[in-house]
Amino acid sequence: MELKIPVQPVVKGNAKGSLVVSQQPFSFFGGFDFNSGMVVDPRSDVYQKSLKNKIFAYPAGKGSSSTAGVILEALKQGVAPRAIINVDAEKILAVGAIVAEVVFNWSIPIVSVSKEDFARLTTGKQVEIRDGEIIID
Amino acid sequence: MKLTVEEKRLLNGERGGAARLAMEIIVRLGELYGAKELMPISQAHIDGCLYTAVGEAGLEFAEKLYGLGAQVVVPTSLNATSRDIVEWSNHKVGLDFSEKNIRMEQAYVGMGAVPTWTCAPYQAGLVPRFGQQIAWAESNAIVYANSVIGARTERYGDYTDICCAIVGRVPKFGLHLKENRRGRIHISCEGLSLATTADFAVLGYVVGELAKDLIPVLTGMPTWITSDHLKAFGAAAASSGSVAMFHMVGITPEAPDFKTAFQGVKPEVELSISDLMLKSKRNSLSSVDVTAVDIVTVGCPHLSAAELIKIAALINGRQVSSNIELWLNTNNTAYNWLENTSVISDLKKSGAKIFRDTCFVNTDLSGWGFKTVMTNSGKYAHYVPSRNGMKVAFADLDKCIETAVSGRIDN
Repeated sequence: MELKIPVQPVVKGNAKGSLVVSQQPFSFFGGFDFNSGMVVDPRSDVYQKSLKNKIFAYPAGKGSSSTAGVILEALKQGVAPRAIINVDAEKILAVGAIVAEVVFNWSIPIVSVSKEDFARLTTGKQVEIRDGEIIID
Repeated sequence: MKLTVEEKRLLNGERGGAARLAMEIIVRLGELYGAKELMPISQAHIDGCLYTAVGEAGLEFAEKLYGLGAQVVVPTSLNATSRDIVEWSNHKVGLDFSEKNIRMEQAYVGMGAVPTWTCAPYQAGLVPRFGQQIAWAESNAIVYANSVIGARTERYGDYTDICCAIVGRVPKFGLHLKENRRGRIHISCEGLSLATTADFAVLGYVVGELAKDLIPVLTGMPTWITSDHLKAFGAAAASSGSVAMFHMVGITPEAPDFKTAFQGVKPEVELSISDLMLKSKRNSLSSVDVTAVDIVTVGCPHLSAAELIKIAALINGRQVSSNIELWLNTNNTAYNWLENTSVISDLKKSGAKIFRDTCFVNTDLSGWGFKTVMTNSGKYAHYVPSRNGMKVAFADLDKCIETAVSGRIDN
């Protein structure tokens, strides 16, 4: 059955892919390898999972101000997630997405959802982010 | 967003293509944060010059702006680069890697930034004053500027930092505004046994995990706390959480007393930290089964002159063991101050390697084959396992130095 979740777009755009869901705050700087697209933080609950072409959901960002740089390099190398879903949108990451769009014409939508709706997201599900909502297969 | 006539000129390209791109990013940033207008800044610190963090995209971005004729309009310091600019070839840094760095360095210096090459600009020259509006990047520098100096910056990062410097403006939002700088949670630290820099790093790590992105107010901090302790504390807090500002009652300038730190509002959460919590966190910062280390590396954030002097005193004329490396990460400023004293020559005679301009987690380590590292830095302990794939032993500075001299970890 199709499930629709309302979202607040932080950086606009549409995307489709399978979900990788972490229940922990995440830092792309130090937590993600922009050469392989893998999560490399051993403390993460999605350690050694690939985020390439995935829709990556995690509750909030944490850590370094280098996050925007990491996501741009991942976009350049073609290993970035297709979109990001947060509860508390990670602004430094959103900045990376804005620069990607303004300077390089690359798209990576970022949306935020309520805590309750975040709990309905599970790894492996196919989802589509479109027109202000997440559609789950 | 309400823009002035000059801001509109910047945005529509009348001040050149680089300023147009920078302005578009700053305006989008402001919209993202709900800012109604922009405000002037009088200083900037750039993190985007760190090649290992921003990679090819960051280099392309810097060269694009520079190629479009970008110039900074406020005094601008630069974070570390990814190589020691003088000694890189003695540090087994590859030629190709070095050349990428040279291009990055040329772009940022070409845009008019000061080649400070340090993550601790607050100890190396371009120090802002209390209340000054600035645009700083680098999480440890941000938290230090806001908390210890009382300058006002939001959490800028790669790409936005240079845009702020090019247009001399930031969105009027977040920590630029007094009302957003009030404490939100109270963390009591009464009676804690705190003595070393590593102790403050562990405390910072715990505070970061507790506070996440809320501004913590700490009470019970010792009055003898130093700039280097605060540096270690803030760097760890900004690594384990998103802390961009903290208050320490009686220590930091916006917290002369409890009430002022919270701007008269009641704390939302009351917490306290125990010695047991610190001990448990300290243990967890070390990887489980490290019995020997290949390298001891200290200076994250960059060592101050005071710390270099202390390390020379701890080594006290002895030699670093032949089976281990000792790396000291600092900036050229501290190095130059001490170059004609015995400190630098004694450190070099001991066999320690001094790295300027860069640091262990950001330079090219491919020629070394390190598997295990000892450090007294909470930030290194946090990032080295993931960024460098190495195991970490976290220890106090004196134990780090004794390990480097004896070549083994003594308990």
